Amino acid sequence: MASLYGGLDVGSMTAKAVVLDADGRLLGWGMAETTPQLAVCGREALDGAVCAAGARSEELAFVVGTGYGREALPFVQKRVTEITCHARGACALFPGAALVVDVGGQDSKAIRLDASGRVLAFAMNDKCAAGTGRFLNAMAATLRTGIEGLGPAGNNSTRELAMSSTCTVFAESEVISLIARGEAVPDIAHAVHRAMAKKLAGLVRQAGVGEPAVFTGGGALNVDLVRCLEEFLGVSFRIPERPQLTGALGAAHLAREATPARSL
Amino acid sequence: MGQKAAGRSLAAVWPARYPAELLWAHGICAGEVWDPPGDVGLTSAHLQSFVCPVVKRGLGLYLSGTLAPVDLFVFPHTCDSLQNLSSLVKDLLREERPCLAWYPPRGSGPQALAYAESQLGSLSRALERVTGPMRDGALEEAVAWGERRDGLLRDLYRSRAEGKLRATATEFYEAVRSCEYLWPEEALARLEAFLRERRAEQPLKEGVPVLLSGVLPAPASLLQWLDGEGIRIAEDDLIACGRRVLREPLESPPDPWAALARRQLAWPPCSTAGSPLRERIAFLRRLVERSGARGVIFLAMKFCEPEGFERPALVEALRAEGVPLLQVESELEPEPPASLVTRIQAFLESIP
Amino acid sequence: MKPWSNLRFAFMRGAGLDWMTRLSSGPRRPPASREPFFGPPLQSRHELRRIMTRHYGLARYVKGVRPVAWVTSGAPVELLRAFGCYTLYPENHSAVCGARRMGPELCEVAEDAGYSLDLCSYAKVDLGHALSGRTPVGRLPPPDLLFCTNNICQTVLYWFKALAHHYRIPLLLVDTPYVHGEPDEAALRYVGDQLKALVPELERITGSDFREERFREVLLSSRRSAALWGDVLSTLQARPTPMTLFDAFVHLAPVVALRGLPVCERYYEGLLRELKERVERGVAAVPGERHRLLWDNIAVWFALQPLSRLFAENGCALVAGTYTHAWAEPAARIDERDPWGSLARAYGLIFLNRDLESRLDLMEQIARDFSVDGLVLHSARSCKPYSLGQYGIQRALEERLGVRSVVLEADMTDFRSWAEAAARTRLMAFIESLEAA
Repeated sequence: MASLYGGLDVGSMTAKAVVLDADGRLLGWGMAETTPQLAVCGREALDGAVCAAGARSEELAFVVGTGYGREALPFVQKRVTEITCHARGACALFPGAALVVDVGGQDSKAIRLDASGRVLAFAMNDKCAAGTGRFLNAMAATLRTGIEGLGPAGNNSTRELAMSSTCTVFAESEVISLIARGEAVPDIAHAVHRAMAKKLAGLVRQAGVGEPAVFTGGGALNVDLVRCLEEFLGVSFRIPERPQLTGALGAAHLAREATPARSL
Repeated sequence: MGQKAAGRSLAAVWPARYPAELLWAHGICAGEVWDPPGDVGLTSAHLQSFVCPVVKRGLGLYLSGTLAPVDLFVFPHTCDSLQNLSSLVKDLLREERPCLAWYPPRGSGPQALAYAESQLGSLSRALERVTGPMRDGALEEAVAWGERRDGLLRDLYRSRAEGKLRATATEFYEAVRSCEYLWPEEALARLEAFLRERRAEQPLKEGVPVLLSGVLPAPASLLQWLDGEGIRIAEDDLIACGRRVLREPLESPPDPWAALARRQLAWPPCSTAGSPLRERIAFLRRLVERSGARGVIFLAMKFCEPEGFERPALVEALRAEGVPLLQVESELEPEPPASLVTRIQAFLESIP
Repeated sequence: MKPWSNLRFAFMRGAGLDWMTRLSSGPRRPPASREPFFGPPLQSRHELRRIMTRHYGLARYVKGVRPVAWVTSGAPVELLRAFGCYTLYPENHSAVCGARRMGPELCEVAEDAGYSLDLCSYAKVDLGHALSGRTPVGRLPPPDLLFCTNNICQTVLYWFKALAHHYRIPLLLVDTPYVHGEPDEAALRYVGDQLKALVPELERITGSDFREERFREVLLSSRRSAALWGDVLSTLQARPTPMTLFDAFVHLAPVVALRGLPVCERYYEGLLRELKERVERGVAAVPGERHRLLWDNIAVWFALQPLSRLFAENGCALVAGTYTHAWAEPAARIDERDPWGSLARAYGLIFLNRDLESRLDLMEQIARDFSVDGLVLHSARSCKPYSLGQYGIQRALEERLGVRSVVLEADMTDFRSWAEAAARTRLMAFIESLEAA
């Protein structure tokens, strides 16, 4: 009985998978750390999602692959870019979404949508890592907060520090000198988030500001980062329950829409 | 090097706009240095990291010694970086072969025309010192070649815009860019054959038509990838290509010097020239209309100042008219980076 | 409205503005305590502050009274003055923004509008100001016309084309071909002919007639200003030097923005007097001056203080610069009897518009005239015509002069990629090598 639809998003840091039924209900999801064997970790995430759905792989009628590893997945039926998938996923969660900001491992993007959920314009970070998840990871390592601790730390900031660098390498040395100056970790973390949010705000303005706005990707888990970006843009973000899954969810919806409804 | 065997001299010419006809009239074959392959590592002792890949590649080629058979160098003063490169080669690297300059006038009035004509005279005298006096009638012949080349390129571009050319982007640009290094008679033969073989009577209606704007149709791997994705470049506003094609025939005065000077001021609007932005916007709009392009891809060159200052206004104007567009950046990497490929794919997914 | 605007401008130009400035600045702050490694500050700085504040202050009241022109630093402004234009210099304004550490925020405004991270930061600061209205000088009137000369770089043309499009106003260009070797008479004729052709154009735009008498007056005044500035710089040949190049960067503003006006001449007469007195009395800008350095390229405006301090602390006085020198250049060439031809030479032959061979000769000459024993080459990310070729220039000059040198990677206004600690280490290593030499 092939009646399920899969979405698989193989990103630079994590592979994420989602399984939907024919009505678009979420049945299960899975994740795996990205390894150089993209097909293997992709499979692992997808199997995890199928298993969580209490189903078998044979029941998957159609799978859409996305993320930077999408070309390396031999078992998907179609490949779509993460821009289209994040847009679709955000619209599935928040119908009418006009703006999607996604902060993933190696890319961040701002996507402007029209009323029907079609992509009007998008902007992505340039080659350097500033403004991406990698930047946050590097900063969390330097500050020794752990990636989960960075957001709460920034939230506890009591003092605004200036950070000017936009590049990971320079920002790291700037953070080190702030530490050397004896600044408190929460204040530094907040400064990092402001610097990054500023960069993201630039991307959003390129694509076009709009509301309702959705924040997706692992970066959405960082409360302080989200708040900083909200301040810069004057919008408030809706955050999915599991923001990292948004791309995979969009892919699964596209899989469902790619299959003509079967006549009984 | 076949040129040498044919008794011609060789000039290495840097981008972008210059009177090639004058070199031909002196029996000099121009080889343009846009994006040669090779090691830019050699340039790090001479150039800072914030220099564009065209200048880096060109200097890399020069330093590698590959240009040993070249008899002279011509440096059009297209932008600050190329202007300084000309002096760097001549004054700091102490190149002993002639390094000649061509300054494309940024003005447009009679003063600019007069200056272009006087510059043609001084460039010609400098060339005579390399290859001897110009043969009688040589300039008339060269100008005629130039006009025929323009005519053929115009036909090729029109056919492509109408969808009546059976050619991938790779094939199209191989043919068009052969003008960058072939002796004019050979280039003309090649363009004629290409047009004859590839022109179709009816529109082919294949692929998604887009307009490509930027500096170069490069790297080759990017063109191959676009071909594979079913993207059809229906028009281009590339400095190396479409911005050197006169889309309308130019009425030339009978005097070849005056004709050549006129041609130097007749190029399509360009970021490197004095043309106001509204002219470039109007030019782009025309290209979009006549080719039916469904979107515009701006392939930006990293560190290119002239293009970088013009793009925002172009983007704003086209966006206001609802033309879908995408901006991507390239450093002429041998393989298009994954992020670039993803952006173009996402753009195609979004085109209505 | 016009009579009221005229009246208001006339009042401000008279006593009003100075009066208001005094009111708003409140009691003068006591001078900051100077570190022992600096000599006493120049008295002229107060007058400099007054005239530059006035220049930007008056600009607020000039709209509708006189045509406002935005002008590139290397443009023959004398022509505009003959039409009564009020001229503002975006480059000078960008430098002011840089010194007030506003570079990154204004660059970001431009970047949000799509200008790339890699473009010239002077231009981006200006475009950022045009788009947002943000400026440290209160408020600038939008231009009625733009006047651009590409003798300092081709980038100003791209930048001014963008401004012309933004404001939908005319852009007047004087195209100055780059000079290889000896000056090309045809190129100079082209420059002169363009200047002449601008006269009817300017008459149309400004609505006033060309006043030839006024033009000649302005030319003479401009030549005197440039000559005075040259004399000011020459006082830095004294040992110890009465001021450093860091002072010169600041005191350069009038010859950039106000040349051709009497206020500019008066200012430099005063400054020159003060400097000559200092030389006579042996007042040192850097007490215990041990090394004399040449600085190449525009200033790092956001780091003037830390850099001047670092050099002074180590007994190094910056006494010569190519950038500061450039403003003394037109002096010899302006000739009121041949206004068009001499203006073409004055502006067409500035060193940034000539090949690197002549730049090497110029730098060698300056280095010798000012008894320099080290070179600091600022490689400015923003400024390609100034910076491309510096590595080779460095090698050639080290050989010609037998001196030490260092390349400092920085920018004029954008400190987002400035690594102060790394720069400090680099400069200290250079200074140590000077001590060892």
